[in-house]
Amino acid sequence: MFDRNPMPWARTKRNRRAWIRDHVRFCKEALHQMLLHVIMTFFVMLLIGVSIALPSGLWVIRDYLSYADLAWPTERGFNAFFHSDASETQIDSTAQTIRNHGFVNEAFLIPKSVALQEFLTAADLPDLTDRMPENPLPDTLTVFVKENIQVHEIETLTDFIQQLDAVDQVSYDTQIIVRFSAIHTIFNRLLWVVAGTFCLFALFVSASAVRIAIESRLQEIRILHVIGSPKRITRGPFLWCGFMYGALGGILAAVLLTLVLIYVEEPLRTLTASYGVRRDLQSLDWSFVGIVCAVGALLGLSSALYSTSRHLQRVTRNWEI
Amino acid sequence: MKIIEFNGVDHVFPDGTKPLQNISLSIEEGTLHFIVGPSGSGKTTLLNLLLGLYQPAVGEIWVNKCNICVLSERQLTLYRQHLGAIFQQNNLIPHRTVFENVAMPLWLRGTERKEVHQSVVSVLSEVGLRGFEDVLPLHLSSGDQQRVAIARALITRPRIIVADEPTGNLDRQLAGSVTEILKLQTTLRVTVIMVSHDEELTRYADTTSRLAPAPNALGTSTLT
Repeated sequence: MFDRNPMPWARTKRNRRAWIRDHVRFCKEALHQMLLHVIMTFFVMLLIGVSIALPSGLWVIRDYLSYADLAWPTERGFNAFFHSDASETQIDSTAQTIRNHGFVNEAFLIPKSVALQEFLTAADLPDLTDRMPENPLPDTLTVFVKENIQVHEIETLTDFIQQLDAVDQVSYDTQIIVRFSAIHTIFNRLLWVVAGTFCLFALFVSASAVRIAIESRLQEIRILHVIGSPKRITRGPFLWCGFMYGALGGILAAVLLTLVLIYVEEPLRTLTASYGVRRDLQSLDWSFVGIVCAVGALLGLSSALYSTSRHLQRVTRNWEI
Repeated sequence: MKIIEFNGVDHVFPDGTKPLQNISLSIEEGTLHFIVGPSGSGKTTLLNLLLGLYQPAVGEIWVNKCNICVLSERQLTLYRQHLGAIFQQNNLIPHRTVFENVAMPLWLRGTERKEVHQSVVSVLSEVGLRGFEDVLPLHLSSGDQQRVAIARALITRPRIIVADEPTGNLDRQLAGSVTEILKLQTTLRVTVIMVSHDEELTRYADTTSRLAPAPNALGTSTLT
């Protein structure tokens, strides 16, 4: 019997070029595998794409509408009505005093003549102006507070404005704020639940597709195992496969999202324009498309990592050639 | 010099079947060693033990002064890279060309592209398949497929080649020519361990071991 136990087999040194060559080969093999089953590949991409597009779409719409809520009577905005007998100079100086307050971000004055005109136009009664002896509406100042201001600080601000001589009334409904805030929280939480569920679905779909790829190449995996293929090289093509399923699914998600948002863009613009907000949809932004693709690729890669570590081990442990 | 040594090796499958019992065997470097025996006698199991694909229940397997039974999975992978392996069937990857099948062990080592090309051309010439580089294995005869498998086993110039019934699907003449290619390697101090059920081929062997069913042990073989 031999009397020593060193490893007599030297490890060959691999340089960076070999690493690049390996990955080019893995990429080609993964593409070959995907093209070989092109219909399955398309459906896997579609399922991943839809799974990413749905939560992303909800996020885009929520983000888009959140700009509109600047004009709503939320914790960030309210109206101050002036006395009907207040002079123009008094109103201007009061508006300036309010604008200079530390909690105020901006404030817009809506003269009573403009308010009346808007009201009559909206009510489809343009001729009524001539018949009215005087304008019953007050001059109004719409105040927007800074982002980091808390509700109790807004109450301090409204008390301050209420005490100004020219101001008749401040409209600030805490009930609406509480409701709106609750709806906002529910929407946000639902968004996370939907995103989590659909990400799990995308992971499952991609992992199953990679598993099918593994099952269809058992013979190759076993041969590679016998000739001494390290785990890294055996699973390389499958990791690329998962990565490409995810990345292409992400691109498909971006396309779907863009198409849907183009379709709903007009009514959304109308809705937000009615609150005086103009903004482009974020799905058309390249950075957003990049994030969606990166999320897809990451999901695909994670699922492939899981699938290869689980199934390749099973294949190589239950050895039979 | 002894290059392979089995010391009192038993193997038990997970279902409790015991195909091999108390196997002790020594193989000299640079020889063609035949392992013969009837079907089901555990010849392939013996080779799988040598390849480190199975772990013996009892005993030790020493290869090149190293007990392979104590190696980690990573070390076994490295060990297998230094062996040449040929099987009776499912030897080649069907969707890869002859060139790709033969070049695979060099890819695992990260060999430069130019060197890979030179080695593949050289080894294919050696087995008489020069010019078949771009052909898919399905378009080759069984004999030529075995030659491709031999070329793949030879490309890293291993010191040990393990061949499990490489002539099983071939007629007598082709079987002879495949065995001759393997025999030729022994002149380069390569050790070839070949499993066969064809006693006729043992005329090429330098040494031969016979696996025979053990008396009073169902499904178990010992070496005679």
